[in-house]
Amino acid sequence: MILRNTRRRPARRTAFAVLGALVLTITLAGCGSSDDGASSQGGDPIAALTAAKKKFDEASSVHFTMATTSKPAKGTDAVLGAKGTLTHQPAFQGEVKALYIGITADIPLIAVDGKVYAKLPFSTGYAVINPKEYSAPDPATFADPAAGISGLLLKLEDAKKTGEKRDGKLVVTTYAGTLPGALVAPIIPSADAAGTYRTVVGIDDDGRIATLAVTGDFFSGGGDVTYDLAFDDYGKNVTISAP
Amino acid sequence: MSQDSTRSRGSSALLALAAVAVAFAAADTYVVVLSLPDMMGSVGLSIDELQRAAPIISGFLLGYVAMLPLIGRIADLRGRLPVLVASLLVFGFGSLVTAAAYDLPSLVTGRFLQGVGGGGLVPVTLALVADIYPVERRGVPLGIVGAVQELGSVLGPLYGAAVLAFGDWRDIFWINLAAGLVLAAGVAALGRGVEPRPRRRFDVVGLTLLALWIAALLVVMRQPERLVTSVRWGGPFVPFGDDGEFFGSIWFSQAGLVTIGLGLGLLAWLLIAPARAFVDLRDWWASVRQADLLGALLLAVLLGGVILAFATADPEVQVFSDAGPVYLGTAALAAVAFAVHQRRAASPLIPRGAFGARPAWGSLLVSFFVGAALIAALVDIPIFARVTVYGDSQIKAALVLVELLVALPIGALIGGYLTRAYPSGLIAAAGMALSSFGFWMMSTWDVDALHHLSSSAVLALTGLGFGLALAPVNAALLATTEPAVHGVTSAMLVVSRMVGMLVGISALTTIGLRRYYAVSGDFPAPSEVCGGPTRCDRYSDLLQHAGIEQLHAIFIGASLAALLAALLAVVLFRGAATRGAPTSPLLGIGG
Repeated sequence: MILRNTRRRPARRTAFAVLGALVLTITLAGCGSSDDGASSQGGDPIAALTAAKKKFDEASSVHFTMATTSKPAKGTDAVLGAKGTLTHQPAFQGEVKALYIGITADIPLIAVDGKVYAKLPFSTGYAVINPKEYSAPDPATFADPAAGISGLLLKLEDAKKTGEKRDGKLVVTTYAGTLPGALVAPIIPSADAAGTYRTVVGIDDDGRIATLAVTGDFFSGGGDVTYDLAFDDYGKNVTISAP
Repeated sequence: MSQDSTRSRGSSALLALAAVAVAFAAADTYVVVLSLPDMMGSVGLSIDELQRAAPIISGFLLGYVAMLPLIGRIADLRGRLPVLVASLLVFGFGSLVTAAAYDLPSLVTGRFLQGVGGGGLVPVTLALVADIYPVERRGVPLGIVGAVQELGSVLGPLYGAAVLAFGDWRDIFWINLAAGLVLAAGVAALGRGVEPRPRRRFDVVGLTLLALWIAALLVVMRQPERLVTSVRWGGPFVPFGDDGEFFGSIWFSQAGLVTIGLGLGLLAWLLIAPARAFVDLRDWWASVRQADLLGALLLAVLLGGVILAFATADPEVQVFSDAGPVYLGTAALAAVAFAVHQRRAASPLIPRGAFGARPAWGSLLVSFFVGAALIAALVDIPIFARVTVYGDSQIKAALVLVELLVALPIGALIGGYLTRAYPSGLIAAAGMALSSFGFWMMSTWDVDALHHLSSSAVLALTGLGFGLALAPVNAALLATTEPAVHGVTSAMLVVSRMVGMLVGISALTTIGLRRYYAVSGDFPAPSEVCGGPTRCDRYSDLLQHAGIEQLHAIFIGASLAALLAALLAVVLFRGAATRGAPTSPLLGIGG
């Protein structure tokens, strides 16, 4: 009896030591997160959005990603995402994720000098395509100051500062409003031109657009779908040329 | 006396439950065939990267096969019950990792763990049969276990389709997790009457650590949006490095490190306090060491090398990536080491001389190619259905495969009867020739082939052919090996078929795609095809046709594998005295 008790004690002690170490780790981890990155962005949403648009338009290049986790219910074609680099040439180089006959395909794409070159599935080289015929956007126009992404910022209706949100290492200040579908469609072609889309813009500490989330009925009647856009690597020296 | 009879009734109930578990694990091999396109999309794979998705299936098979050298011996050392429960728990954990997967490696890791758990179930269940029934009465129960396993593979794609009808592919694995836990609880409860063992004390520390670890694992892997976008709580989820770097992985964040810490803490607790922990890890490890650990590791390296060699290829350019020959070389070394190890081991997995007769080792070879052809049917026929006519209905795509699967047991019965009267080599060859012909027909299918009734005939014929070959291959093996080793040699037949599946899905996909790219060369520009505009029906047809062509290339490969199996059966089974030998037509169709 006594023997068993003495045998047990060290085990219990180590158990507490292990637990103690873990609690410490968790507390330390918690400490790291407790600074609330209070970035004051000025109260006026219009001023902040205008400044962000200016920075976007002035940057020589921006890297961006676009993605949605939803899919159209029926086997219709849709653009589900994109990632790549935009320049103000205007040009785009990257990949577009498209849904085609119920199957997703990543399509390498270069848009420059008013032409769109795509490496379609099962082909080994780039071919010129007309993106309209593929119900895809011409990503080069994303960089257009008027019709592109930065143009959307000034057209945000009822823009209000809504708070702060974390985007990886960054903490962004969010501004929410709505956009008419006709303005969204050049970026995400499956948008309904007559619809209204709730839009949240995230602006980082440097006053640049970091995130853009557009929510609404993208897949005709399929309910709310959100497309998340993220922007980083502003102002890299990039020149995009035709393949 | 009466205690004995309740014990045996308990054993039978346990065996029934174990058989259900085996069916469930078998279903899991093929449950992914319909959701493969969706799973590929979720982890960022494009449809023209089929070869990279193959490990989602082969990873499961790898776990399944690599486990076999270990588990039989562990079950002898530790008793059937703990191994059965442990296998189900590992299967459940693998399902959890698969369901929460965030990229291809995590998905394949989950599938591998599922395979490890599933692979553990089969030998233990077979051992249970041996425990309960005397030698002369084992035929039927063994046949039932085999049949249940086959039933699982028929139901697998249907079960997957049923879940996909109301959920997404992750739901399949959440359900698997629940089923694994329920079955484990059931086995543990039933087993208490069969193998009484002292109850362990409730391990507060260990179970708390386990719960915390699994919770942390789920949160880090799933990255819940509300949490990671929170200014206050999201910080610990931010990786230290940048996206794409080594330290940019989700595990190199504060939350990730805490999860790893919890895992190590749990491990430390289990090792430091084995008497108090909920599982005695040291004791288990000792059993693993006593079993053939080296053999299992070598087998895993061998098969893993094959999977990686083909999966990393870029068939547009070549069959192997630059690292491909390195992977294959490693696999070859492991193969040699495994062979040497088998020769020198005190109690080798396969008793020496067991496969001395030509039809005996021949049956393994034939099984290998049967497996390679069969996996092409199971994986690529549903994909063909989804690419062509049933893009929006997984159920209908699954039913296409069922046309093949229902013919299989019919063929198996016919093959069993014919084997009594005719040479086994002839019947096996006839069956595989039929399947080979079926695949050849499939390689000519066009976009709307599945709308024609003739496609059903081809599918049924192919399934019938596979079924026909089952009994004669098994009979050739049994007729030329000692009765004392029939258990292990029959198991090797299943293993050989699974290895064939694993190599087949890896190699056929890559070689088939390479062949496709080599032959089809390059596409014309869309504007050339359409004469002005860059999209027209003709070009879309061309694209869809290309998608089908890559499947055609795989079907041709499968046809050749089936043909090879047929030729090998004719040559190698000659002289096997199978006529008149009583064989259960059900025996050995599992796999």
